[in-house]
Amino acid sequence: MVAPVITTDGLTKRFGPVQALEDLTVDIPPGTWGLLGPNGAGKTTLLRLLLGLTDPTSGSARVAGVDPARDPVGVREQTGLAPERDAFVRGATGTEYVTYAGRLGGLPADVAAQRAHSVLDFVGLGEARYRPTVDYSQGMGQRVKIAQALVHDPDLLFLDEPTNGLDPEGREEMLELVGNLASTHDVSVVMASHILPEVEAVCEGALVLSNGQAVTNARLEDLTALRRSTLRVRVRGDVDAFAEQLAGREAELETSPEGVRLVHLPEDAGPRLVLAAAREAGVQVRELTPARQDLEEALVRSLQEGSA
Amino acid sequence: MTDAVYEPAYEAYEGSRTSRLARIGAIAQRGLAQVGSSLWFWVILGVSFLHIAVRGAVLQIGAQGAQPGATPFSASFLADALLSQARFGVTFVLAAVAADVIAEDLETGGLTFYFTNPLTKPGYAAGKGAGPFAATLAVTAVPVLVLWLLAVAFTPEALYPDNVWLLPLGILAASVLVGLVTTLVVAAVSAVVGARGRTAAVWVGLVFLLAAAARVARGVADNADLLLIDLFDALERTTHTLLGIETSPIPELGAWLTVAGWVLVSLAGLTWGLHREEVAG
Repeated sequence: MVAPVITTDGLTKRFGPVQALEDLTVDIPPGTWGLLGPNGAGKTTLLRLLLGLTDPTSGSARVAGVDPARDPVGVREQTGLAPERDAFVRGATGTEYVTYAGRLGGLPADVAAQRAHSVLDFVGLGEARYRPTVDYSQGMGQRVKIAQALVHDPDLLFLDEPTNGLDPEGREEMLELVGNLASTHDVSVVMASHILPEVEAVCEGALVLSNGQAVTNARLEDLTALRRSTLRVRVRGDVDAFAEQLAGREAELETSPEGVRLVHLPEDAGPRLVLAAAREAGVQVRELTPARQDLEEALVRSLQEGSA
Repeated sequence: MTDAVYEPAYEAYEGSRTSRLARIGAIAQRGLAQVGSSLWFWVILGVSFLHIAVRGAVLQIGAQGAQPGATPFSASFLADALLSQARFGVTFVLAAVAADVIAEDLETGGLTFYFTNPLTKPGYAAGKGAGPFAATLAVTAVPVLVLWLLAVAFTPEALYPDNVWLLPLGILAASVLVGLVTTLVVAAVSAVVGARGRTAAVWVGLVFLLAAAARVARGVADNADLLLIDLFDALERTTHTLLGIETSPIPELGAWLTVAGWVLVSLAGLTWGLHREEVAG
């Protein structure tokens, strides 16, 4: 079994009366992992705790083998963060900024300068690297933030909303870049985002937070797995009678806004129940397949279950 | 323009890492470069040397004339020069090169940049303060040591003060104390005010308003101890102590306590300013 790159055990953070994160116990494996949740879910607080930027109220964490509360500098030697907000140094060009980040990250000055150019190439900042960062577009700003987080060669990279403010083309390029990181370099990535298709595009799994609590933490393939208890059905005939027959068998017919009909079965029931109900209602079953939930549906379901 | 994402172009780094001290050194190096590129720094340095040249000329005239009442080469003579430089040179040089030292990072998100790198907050503050501290030494220790050299060169040996060879150490120690305390105060103001430009105004206002308040209070109450309201009056007394002068009307213990108080309040302000960013972030 692969050792997790992040482990938390009862991690809790309060800011006065505000419970920002509550009793979080999760393992995140190496690779690219999404950190999902609505605004105020605790994503940024979790990132700050994992980077040792703030101490937990209780509980503990290990990031790349280091406890961030005990050795915050040590954990930041192993990690990099591309923050959501601008985090620039006044007056610096892209090259100067990334070189400086390399030196602060522990690289000798000459190595930092050399690697700055390499990572600026990698993130696709061409001649723009010689311009002051203050003149950068949003897209260039996001790229140079990733470059400064990568230059000291961390084992784990945190990306906080890396596509914020980007146009569709820029988003696509950014996601390609994030995907490249994990697939071509031995860098694990945790990407905080509230945009599901982006997480779906590049992440192997996701930790979903809501109100400071972990709602789910699983591989995407598990999150979107076939649901044995839900069937997708297409019928011809009296749908109301069909619904009545289903209700009499403790099943529920749901029609999605897109017009897709789903049958939620009771425990231990199977497709035979649907067919029996259809027969009694006198409707013709044209399609009966297991329903696969997409990530959005899975997330909404997880959030609903979490809040319940 | 950005280019399309390139093929993987960087490799894993297998070499050794620099020490944590070297990382602070990188911040300090950047700060020194910023000081060196400040036009105001060079203007204030030029004025400082002009001031020292005038004092040197006065000293030479006094030595050549050997008239009663002429300015003698003494510790007090050097202390006066140092304190003038401290009150005016340091105040304005820090307003020019140090006021924005932390405020700019609060404005640009630079604090997040620094603190997500392997640095501690004290390390960050030390690195950030190095440039401004060096600037204070450039307008205190350097010109006053030059004045000492001029005095040694132009004054007949018989007229040397008793502690002539210890004076450079005293000048250096007093300059370091002035520089450390004032840089810390400005850094704290910068962290608390958190906006470029305004920090300089608050710092200069603080220096001159407190000086005026100290003098008014002394006049009203006829009590020299009230001069301790002003940081630079306290630093005057500590400078006299370090140069072996016993003529200041300000109590020595009170002066050291005042300086310690400014240091503690500044440390608290600096800590609060940096912590405020942490909570907000």
